[in-house]
Amino acid sequence: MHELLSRQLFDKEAEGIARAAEPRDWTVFTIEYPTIDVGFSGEGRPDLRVRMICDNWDEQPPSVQLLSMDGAFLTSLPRGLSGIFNGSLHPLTGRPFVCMRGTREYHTHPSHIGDLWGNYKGKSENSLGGILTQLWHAWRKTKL
Amino acid sequence: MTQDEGREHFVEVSVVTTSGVFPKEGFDRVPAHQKVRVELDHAAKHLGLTDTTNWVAMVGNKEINVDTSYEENGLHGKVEIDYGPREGGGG
Repeated sequence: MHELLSRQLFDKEAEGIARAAEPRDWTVFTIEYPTIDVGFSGEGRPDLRVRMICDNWDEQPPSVQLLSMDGAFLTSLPRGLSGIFNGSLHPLTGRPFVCMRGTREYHTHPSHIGDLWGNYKGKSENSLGGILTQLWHAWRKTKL
Repeated sequence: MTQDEGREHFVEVSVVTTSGVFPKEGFDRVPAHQKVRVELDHAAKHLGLTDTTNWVAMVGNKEINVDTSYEENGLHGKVEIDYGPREGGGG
């Protein structure tokens, strides 16, 4: 996909994400093409920062990086994170990853290589904001 | 019937999603006995949301039952509903 078109799609969705961030108490580090970088924190849950790399959106799904709040890549999952948060090392990134439909790490993982992004692309829940919201809900389920 | 019982109660509702806010500005005034789902359906239509079957509605940190009314959910006054998809499959 042409970068200009990808950027236009990104910018259109970014506005709504920024609006929703405040009531959800997200810490916004950056929302600027091709990156959405926000932190989740709350009492009784481990802090988590997620950085979505959205190059070539929406031809391919975003890559989701799991970080500490100071921006370091996680080498293991914080206590309490489970479900879609996978503590094993992804064969392409060598890091813990999000194993959920709509993330690049899911669709490129050998276990799911046949489950194509094209089957999910274009649905509201798989917009950039939808994917980020799903990550937030998964994080909200965790307890220290 | 007391005067208060005969008066219809209203709540003011705003729906926040990552695809936008409904209504675009301010709040919609709706009957407190109305099911929450009605306003969410309006929001979905206006914001162009497709397939919200797996979505969850929250007020503050509490998930609400969209198939019951604002009254039954204990909501009154100004209500800001956060609406978005639950985490999907994978793993």
